[in-house]
Amino acid sequence: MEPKFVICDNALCIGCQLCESACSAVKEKSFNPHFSRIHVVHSRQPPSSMAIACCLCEDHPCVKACPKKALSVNEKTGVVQIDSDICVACGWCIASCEWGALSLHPITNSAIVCDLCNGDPECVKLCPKEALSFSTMNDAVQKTQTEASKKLIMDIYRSSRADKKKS
Amino acid sequence: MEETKTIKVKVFRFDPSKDKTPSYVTYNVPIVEGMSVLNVLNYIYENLDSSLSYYYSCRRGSTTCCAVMLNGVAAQPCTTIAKGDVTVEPPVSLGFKVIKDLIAEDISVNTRDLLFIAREKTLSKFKSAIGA
Repeated sequence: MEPKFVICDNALCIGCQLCESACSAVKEKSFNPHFSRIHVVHSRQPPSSMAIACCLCEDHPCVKACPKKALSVNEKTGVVQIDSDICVACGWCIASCEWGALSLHPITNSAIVCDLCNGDPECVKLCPKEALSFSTMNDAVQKTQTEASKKLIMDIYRSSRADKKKS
Repeated sequence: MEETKTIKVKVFRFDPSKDKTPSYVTYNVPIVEGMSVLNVLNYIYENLDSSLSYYYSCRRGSTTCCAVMLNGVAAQPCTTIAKGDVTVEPPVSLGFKVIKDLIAEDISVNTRDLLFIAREKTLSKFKSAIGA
């Protein structure tokens, strides 16, 4: 079965960082983006924002990169688990993740990663623009394609109407 | 008397001041049961090739300063038992810069930098995706 994870649609994301606040509030009881398991990034040119959390890669490069074997994969959910007692914050898992989904907890000095809140992510519930979704990669791609084709049809319809008005 | 066995140890060698490209050198090392990969590296340094550079500190698995890639998987040589042929290399595949041979830069020295690495990586990936 294809794993479900938190996916962000950057066409809808406004970069409000409420997902980061929700994550740190649920996990650490504080509103600090540094404690968050989901990261929001902003691009200035073109202006766009996106949030990213663990994508549950098939080959798990972070698990292979841990020299202390502190990272493991939950067989049922496919979520990466970090044993904070073993982790010594060497940063190898952070270096291995090409998406930058793992980060370091500034106080406990242990690596942190999205655990999907036991299958009910708080960030998805709180997103005001519904940019975040808890779905599989295929579903997210299909949704984006459907919306893109709808937008294309509307653009063609509008331009044809504008041409008719001119003529 | 303990039984000895000889294993082939393929070691990554690269000196940025001399070499243009990295190379691998294979050493034949006699091992006894219970010998760790760190002991194997010590044997190479003491008996076969003293130009090999590697680093270790506690010798009991507390720190990760000695960590290398053993057969493509990250591990601590001090706590890994040498059983068969092994390839020892620095974490080049994880994007670490090699200082010499098995010594790579330690990104955990500056914790503040480590906090921002994840965000910088996400941003660069995002920018390449949207064509910024």
